[in-house]
Amino acid sequence: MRHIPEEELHAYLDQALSRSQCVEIECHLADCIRCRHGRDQIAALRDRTTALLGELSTVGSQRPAFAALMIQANTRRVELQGPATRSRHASPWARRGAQAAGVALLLAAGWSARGLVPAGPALAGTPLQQLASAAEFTGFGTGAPLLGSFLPRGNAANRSPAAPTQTQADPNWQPDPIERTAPRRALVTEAPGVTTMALTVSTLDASDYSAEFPASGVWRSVPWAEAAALTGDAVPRIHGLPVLEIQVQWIGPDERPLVMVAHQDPSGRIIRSIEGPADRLGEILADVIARTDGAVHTSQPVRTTPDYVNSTSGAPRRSIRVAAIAGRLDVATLDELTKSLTIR
Amino acid sequence: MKDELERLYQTTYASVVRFLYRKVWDADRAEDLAQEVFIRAMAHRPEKPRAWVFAVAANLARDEARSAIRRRRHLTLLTNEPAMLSAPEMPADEAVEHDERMGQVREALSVLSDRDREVLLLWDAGMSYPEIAEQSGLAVGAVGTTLARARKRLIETYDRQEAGRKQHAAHS
Repeated sequence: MRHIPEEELHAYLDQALSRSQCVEIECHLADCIRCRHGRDQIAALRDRTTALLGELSTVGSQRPAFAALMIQANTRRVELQGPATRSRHASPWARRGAQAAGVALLLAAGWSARGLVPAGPALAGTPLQQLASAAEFTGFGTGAPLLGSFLPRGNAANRSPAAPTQTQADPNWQPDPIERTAPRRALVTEAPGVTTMALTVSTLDASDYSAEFPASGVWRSVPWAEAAALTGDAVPRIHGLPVLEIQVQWIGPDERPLVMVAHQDPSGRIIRSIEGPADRLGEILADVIARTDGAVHTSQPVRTTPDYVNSTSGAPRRSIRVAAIAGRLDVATLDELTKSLTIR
Repeated sequence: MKDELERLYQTTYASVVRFLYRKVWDADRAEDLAQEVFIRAMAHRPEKPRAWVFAVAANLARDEARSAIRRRRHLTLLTNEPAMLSAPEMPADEAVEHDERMGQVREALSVLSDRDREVLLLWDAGMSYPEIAEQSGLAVGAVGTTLARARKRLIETYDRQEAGRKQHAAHS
């Protein structure tokens, strides 16, 4: 008598066999004590495996709204179809050039706002000085402390030094011509049969909402309480504006995540407040500015509570964290909004 | 397609998080990656979304492991992180016991070969034999053999550890 091979009993218990194979096995089991015993042993093994793997389950896993992820997916499709494709597939030098232009806009925007807005809670000094003061604590600022921390890695500005120099040499330099003449990004083209999901944004197309701020990295939508827990109550909120979405981005095991809060103003425009390590935040904002052809502006950074993270030398490293407000508004307005920023 | 994806998302998200967690050993990171997986699925609209989701999850986990090594996080990966996954309301003694068990299961899993572990985790995530075969590159008929070996080895290793732990406790 041919007994049932062990792997076949596994497949049988896993319901991976066809109906006819199951019937054949069941007929054999009815007559064969040895195979029945084998089946019982394998069933026990299978159950124990499930139980052991069950020990490794995560707790408190909360599924974000499908719509929230769909928004981000729409952004990806825009990137695949729109101008961003060009920069993604361009040579590293071209991409860095674009980032440098974005950084120039960031810095120029900050410079142009200088003097228009009282210091408020922002860091003292010009944007360049603020970035320098953030950079000096990170340990990466030697040689070029001014740009070492808040610029994209690879320091695009070094390869295109003209842009920041220009802003320093001429404080009246304005980035507006680029903003005014830049063509608006193409919005999402939905695939046939797919409609944009209903979103809590009532006055703005959902795809526009996400496409207008292509922040790099993996963002996860979280409820308020989870964001507060993950960031140590450092969720940056603009007082008086309704919150649409809170997202976090994982940085490392020792650091609090980046957190980004999307708000909507009464006219329907989306304004984001972002809090995180100065260097990573600078990278993201510079990238967003480059990818939106300078249409997005940012406020002056406001320093928040730093983190102390483990370094390879063993001594804790102080990681400077800042918050900033970004959106398609002029810099003066964004700076003004930092006065209403509450970090909690 | 959207409805299908939404249904898949609702029914599979937890499995994908669990699958990823057992590869990256970081609950937050597993959730980040799971969201990334579904965002990609929504953007790409694959023909076989379920298999596609797990294939992308496996790839992301592999990338994550590489970057984790680059970040010299391997020490963290090999040590227990008991506090992270203990249920907050669990009494301290139970939590310690739970963490010990978790550490043992992780160690037992790490003894399996990459392929055996992958197949076992995919099966535990609810994938069918043909789906596992497609993703792992095995023949459908070989999935049962692989699973049989993986289960047996996992349990044997765990039991051996458990016996050693009890022996150690008896001596101390």
